[in-house]
Amino acid sequence: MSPVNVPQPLTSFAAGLVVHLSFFALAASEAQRLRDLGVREGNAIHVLKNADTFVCKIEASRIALRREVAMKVFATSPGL
Amino acid sequence: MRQKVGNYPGVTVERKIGQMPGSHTQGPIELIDLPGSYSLSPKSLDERIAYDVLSGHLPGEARPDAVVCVADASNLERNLYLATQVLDLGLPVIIALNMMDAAEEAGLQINIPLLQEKLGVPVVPMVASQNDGLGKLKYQMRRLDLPLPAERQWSLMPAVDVEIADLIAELQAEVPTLPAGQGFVEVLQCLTSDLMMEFWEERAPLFCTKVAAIRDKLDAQKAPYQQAEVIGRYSWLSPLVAQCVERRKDPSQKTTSDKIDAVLTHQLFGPVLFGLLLLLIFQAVFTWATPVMDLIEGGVVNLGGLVRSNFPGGWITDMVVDGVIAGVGNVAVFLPQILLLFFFLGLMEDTGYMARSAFIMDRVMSKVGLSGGSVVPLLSSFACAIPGIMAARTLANPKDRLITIMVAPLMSCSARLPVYTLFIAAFLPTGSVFGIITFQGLAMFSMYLLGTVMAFVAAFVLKRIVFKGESSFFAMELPPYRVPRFKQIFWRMIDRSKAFVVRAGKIIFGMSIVLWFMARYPVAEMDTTIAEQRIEAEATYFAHVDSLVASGMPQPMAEITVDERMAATFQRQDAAEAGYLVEHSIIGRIGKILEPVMRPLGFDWKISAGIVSAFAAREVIISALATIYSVGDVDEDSPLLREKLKADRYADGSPVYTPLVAVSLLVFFVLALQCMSTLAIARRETNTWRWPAVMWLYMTGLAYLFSLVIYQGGQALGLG
Repeated sequence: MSPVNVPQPLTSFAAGLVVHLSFFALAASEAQRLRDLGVREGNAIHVLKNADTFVCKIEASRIALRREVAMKVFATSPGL
Repeated sequence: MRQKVGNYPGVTVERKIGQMPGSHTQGPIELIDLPGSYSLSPKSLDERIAYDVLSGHLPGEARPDAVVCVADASNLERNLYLATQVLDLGLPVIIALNMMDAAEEAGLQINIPLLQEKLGVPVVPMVASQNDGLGKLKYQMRRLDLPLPAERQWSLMPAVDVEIADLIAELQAEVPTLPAGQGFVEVLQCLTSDLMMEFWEERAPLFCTKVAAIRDKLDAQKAPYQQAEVIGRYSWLSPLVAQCVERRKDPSQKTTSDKIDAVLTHQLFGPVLFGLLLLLIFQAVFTWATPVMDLIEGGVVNLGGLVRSNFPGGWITDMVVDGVIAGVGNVAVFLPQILLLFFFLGLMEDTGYMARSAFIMDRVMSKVGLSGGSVVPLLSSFACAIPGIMAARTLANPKDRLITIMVAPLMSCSARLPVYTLFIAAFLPTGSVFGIITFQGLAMFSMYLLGTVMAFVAAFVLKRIVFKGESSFFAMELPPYRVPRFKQIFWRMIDRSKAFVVRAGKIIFGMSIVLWFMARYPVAEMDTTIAEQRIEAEATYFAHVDSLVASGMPQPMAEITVDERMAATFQRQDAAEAGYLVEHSIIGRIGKILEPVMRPLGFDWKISAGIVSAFAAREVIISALATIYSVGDVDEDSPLLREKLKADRYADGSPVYTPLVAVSLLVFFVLALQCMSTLAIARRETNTWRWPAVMWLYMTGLAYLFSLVIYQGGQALGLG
């Protein structure tokens, strides 16, 4: 648990948590692709799976990310 | 318009046109189905097609009169992003809010009248998979008084906004035909997309120079202009959606799809279940289709017999029976298997499992430098490489797209199925593992596996040597699971079988006639030894008849008795003569020329001739062998092609086809590129003949090398 609620990679959040996306450490085109899918800075996402691949839910859409991509997406969790 | 649909993104990769009846005052309405997209900022080829049609960029094609924008209700905010981009084009828009059932399951209640009022365009709630809302949508589409969208309700960040008006004026000055209202979207696209800059470079050079200067200026100001649209549009959309959508469920509550995904995409069970599913499909394709195939096979044989017995003998009857019926019939036999394969692929697409397969396979794909995004094009290639190659348009990374195109033909397509089935059924042992999986089904699975593994190896090599670059990015939406719509799957199977029958009717029908002529002509002068053997056999025949008549037997009875005694001798003689004639026909000569090159792979002149004739389409080898063996075989007791192949012998009495030859031939067909249509589509998609040429060379090289190693290695191990 982090003493200050600093943004952490998505892969550091357990399944079941709802987190708020902070920023992307990705190439501009890749970040844009995520935004197109609804994975956007400021959005709340629900972590469904955090294993070899990462799956999250935004509204009722399930989005799958390669683990290496999820590691470059930073978010905060209000609960932490 | 019965267009293919599937439960995953990227099913439509090109524009498709159909018609629907309009109102009494209108004529029919022309419908253009465009590739799906998350935004109007084109990144991949399919998204570019959608943008080009909507903005009237396609030469000779006007902008549409109105747009039906199908949006997914389960993620309204994201999908209204695209819908509002379309509104900005200034065209009348109808928003078809689809998948209302998925939104409801997730506990989202959408206030449609309020949404309609806020957006200023008709919004039709729908569950398209159940035809729910279709009537209302058609009503809206037939309206002549569709409102034009209201003024843009969102704004860009000030640093960008101040530049837009000048740029629009510049573009309109250079392109006076630009429709009013479209300038804003074009300018915004050019600011953020190099692809769009390329489009306008020659058409509006001054405008492009100005855009480049503004980009530099904004860069210097550190203004995040690339995200200006995202920030501006969502600043308007987010509160709008919050007003229109009521959440009635805790978002962390799991839906049915979440629960199914927990098993099907599990780290360990996911890949195992995927492998088992493929094994089941190929096993089913091999075994379930057999009874119907036997029926068709019997029908083909009977039809040949019927034609022969009811028409006068002569070359036309020979051509119809040995060329057309044997050639087309022996390929048509495989229709049930192809239908089954399409049934299973349809099930995977319709349930939403196809998208999961991309996700499950991403880990493996990343090892070869590709992403899970390439899985759907590759799996589609199990049906046919052509839709597979076209589906690669969904890949935003051009290197990934080219690699996927280059390896897609290695996936075993349905045209290979007849070849696999014929040789596996004829030469590989029957029996089963654990009483469930038959050896022959397993062999079929192995053929598909070999093609898939080789596609991965080829992708790995291409990524490492030719298209060096960073590991691919992978992010995709997993659609909700759906109960398959069997009507949809049925129509897709019918469409596919029609395509197969038409192909058999056109290419194979024509090729069968050509092959028959090539197998029949020129009629060579008979070899003296064989001719002497016939004289000798006939002399023996008459001698026997004379001797029986001399012993008091009536002449007719003596002839029947000797006929029976010498039947085998005359059958051997007929076969030798027919074989000699085929061997010296055009096709025989071609086969003979090639035999020295193909012999190290275990192929005789007949197989070599078959492979050459199958250059344009793989399944033609079946017609070619059927024709060669029908013309060259007079044994009416074994009319089935596989029996004829089994019975074929070299001059020394050894069998032409051994299991080792069959495996060598199967592997050759797994790896070789024998399909003109694939080469033509690869040319179209890569815009050059260079890549199709490389594709043909590397696949043919691989095929030869693997067959050579298998046959020679097998012989060295004493398996021949």
